Amino acid sequence: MATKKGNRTEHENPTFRLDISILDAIRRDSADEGLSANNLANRQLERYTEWDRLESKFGFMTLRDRMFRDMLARVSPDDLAALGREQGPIEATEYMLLRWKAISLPNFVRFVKNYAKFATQFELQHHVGEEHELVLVHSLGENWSVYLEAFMLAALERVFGIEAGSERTDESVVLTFPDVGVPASQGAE
Amino acid sequence: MVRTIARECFTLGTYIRWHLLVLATRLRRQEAEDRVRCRGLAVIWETEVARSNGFEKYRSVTLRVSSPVMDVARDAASEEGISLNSLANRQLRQYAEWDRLKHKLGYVTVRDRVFQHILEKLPEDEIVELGRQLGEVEAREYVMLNWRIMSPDHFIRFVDNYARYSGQFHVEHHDEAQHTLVLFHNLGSKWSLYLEAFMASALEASLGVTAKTQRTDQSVALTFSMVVTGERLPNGLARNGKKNSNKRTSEGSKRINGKMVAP
Repeated sequence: MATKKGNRTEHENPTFRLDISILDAIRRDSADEGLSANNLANRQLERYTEWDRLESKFGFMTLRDRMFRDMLARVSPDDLAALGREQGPIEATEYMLLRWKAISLPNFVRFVKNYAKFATQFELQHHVGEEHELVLVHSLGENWSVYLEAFMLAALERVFGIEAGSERTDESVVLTFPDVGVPASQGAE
Repeated sequence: MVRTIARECFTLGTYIRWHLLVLATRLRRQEAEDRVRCRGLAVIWETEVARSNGFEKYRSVTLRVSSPVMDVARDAASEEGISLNSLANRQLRQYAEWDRLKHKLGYVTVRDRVFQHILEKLPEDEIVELGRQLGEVEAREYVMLNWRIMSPDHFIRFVDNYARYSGQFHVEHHDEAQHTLVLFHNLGSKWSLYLEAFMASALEASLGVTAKTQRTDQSVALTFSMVVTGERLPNGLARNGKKNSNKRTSEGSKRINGKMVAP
């Protein structure tokens, strides 16, 4: 059954037959997190639509952050910058096309947000004023900042022709770019 | 006079008939209520007995989900060839077994080709050293956080969960005279080196077990002896230290990616 009131998001009330052991775990853990079981179930379904179903298609892998940090520290910054420049445009284009079927600046911002939310490669703060400002904060060491900066700058330049400004510290990268007239966002939210 | 008596008799008869009708209706309603109450009690009793015996496995739950999410989920489930219900169960199981721990332990997800490129830049001895160091602690941390107690069963489940959710490798577990864990991947020979060092070190540090290993560029096989009772503990119950009633005998049986397969 679908419901809609004014501008509020449309909802449905589907009934699922859930495994009791899962249901018990969900109830307990949602209380630990200060959420209702319904919120948690919604979050997991959203996670599936935005990330999990694409993860297997793209080929992602999940690692302990401490292991990844140790590995990154042993690679030269020049190699990582080259890797970031190579991967940025490819990953951004692939993700936007597979998820939203359209390449646009709003979709690029959504792509970065999904990387922050689901891949946990960094925390993200997005400020929109006269320009877009994306602040990426992480704890994976200086080399990861080098990679991320190269990745994002190359994606913006080669996909949208935008020359973004950037600042970098050992735990953060700040990207600043204008909201140019690239095609509007398409596809389902 | 006769007419008056006849009228009164008729009135009295009508009254008695009406009264009997009311009584019968009341009796029928009472009987119906009792029946419903008994049936309700029986259902509750049966449910309780079923739960205590571990028979009741599923419960119907109505959720309020945003329509765009439902639309994408419905399409994707049909594309995968599974029902929406199976998808909901899988996603919620993933939360219970993996996602809730990911935030606590600290994980990061990267494209496998990026990771493979980084691996290629590292010398082999450093990869082995890293695998040894992390194997000592990673298995123990995951098991302690999830199930509180390190045991052979929990170690096997740790490997199962890594295979199912992390995308680092696929696993086959052969449980015969000895246990053999075969890990498959397509990240190249350096990842085999890492996995071999990681798993051997994890087994030794967690359970004091020394494993024999074999390695190719796409697989690692670990063979070792230990007693696995095969108790399948749902995460929640295990955390509280209570055992589930579902048990299996390990003799001759085989588990592939967490699923039991008859010999």
